[in-house]
Amino acid sequence: MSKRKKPEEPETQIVLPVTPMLDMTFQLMFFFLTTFNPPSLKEGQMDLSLPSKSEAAAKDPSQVSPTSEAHKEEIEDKSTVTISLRGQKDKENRGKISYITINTDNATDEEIKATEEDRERILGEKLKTVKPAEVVDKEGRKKVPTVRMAAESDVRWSQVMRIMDVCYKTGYQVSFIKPTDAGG
Amino acid sequence: MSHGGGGDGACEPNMTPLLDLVLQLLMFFIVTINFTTAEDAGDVELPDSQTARPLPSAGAKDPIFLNLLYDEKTQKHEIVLPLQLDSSGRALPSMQQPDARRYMKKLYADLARDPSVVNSEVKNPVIIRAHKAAQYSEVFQVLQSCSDAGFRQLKVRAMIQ
Repeated sequence: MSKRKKPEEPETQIVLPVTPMLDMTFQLMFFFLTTFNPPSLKEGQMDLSLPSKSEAAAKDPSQVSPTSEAHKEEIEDKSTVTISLRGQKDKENRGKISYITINTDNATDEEIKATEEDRERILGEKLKTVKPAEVVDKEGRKKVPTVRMAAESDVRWSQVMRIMDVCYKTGYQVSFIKPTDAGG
Repeated sequence: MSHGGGGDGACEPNMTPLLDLVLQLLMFFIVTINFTTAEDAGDVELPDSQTARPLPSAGAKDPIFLNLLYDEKTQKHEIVLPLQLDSSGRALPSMQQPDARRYMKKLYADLARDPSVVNSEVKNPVIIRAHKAAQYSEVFQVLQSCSDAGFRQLKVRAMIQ
């Protein structure tokens, strides 16, 4: 009879073995936890205009390869604005900026001496006033004016970055030139 | 209470919510894992910047990372290229300016020899991560080494404020 339970067949109960799975899962979790390195959302990047070529070329003419002619447009550095960052001399403030000079017409240096914030504000305003009218090149791209920037050798990178910010905010690109106090 | 088993005393913990949670966590870590973390060699403290733009989600092709490390105690600078390997496949040792200059030249020449490169114009961007306390002269030398070697795309990294 089918209705009657066969006494020799015990009730089957499937038990999933959770323990090995948990073990493995915890192993995996531990691995991922230790290797966890969230992509740094705070990190950003800025494009640089190349350091002015003319100087590098003049220093070592043999290194100018014929192919570099292809980048002539890039290399051409028409910028007339030059910013120099002068460093503090005393030991305590070494690496900080003491004052900025800005040269907008290849003739006269203008010194900006003030507190840090004021200096940057004045520099920003100055850059705005000398900004050339927008130029669009052959391919229809806007040409971004370039500021040539130099600092004294021991000025800290973070200080340079602050001034770079000012330039980018006013719509300039920055190209670095050799430290103002470098020999040769 | 009704749960907790019958009279036999065997108390089986309920695994299902625990497993759910663990698997969720596991899923999260698998999804967020980021294997390209080798770019940050050592601890380069980047400077703050208000104008740095967030990294594009699809990064440029085969960037060359160049870290300029600065040790505040010894006041020494070091250059580390974390993603580059030497001829025997080992990580490069940290370098000083003259070595880095030579290396960038060699690297450019190697990259230009690749058949996919048109007009021996290497498109790989060089991403410079300089320590915030690094001296301008060192940063400048790095930039110049890169541009003299022939790299046309230079980018600097900073922390977005």
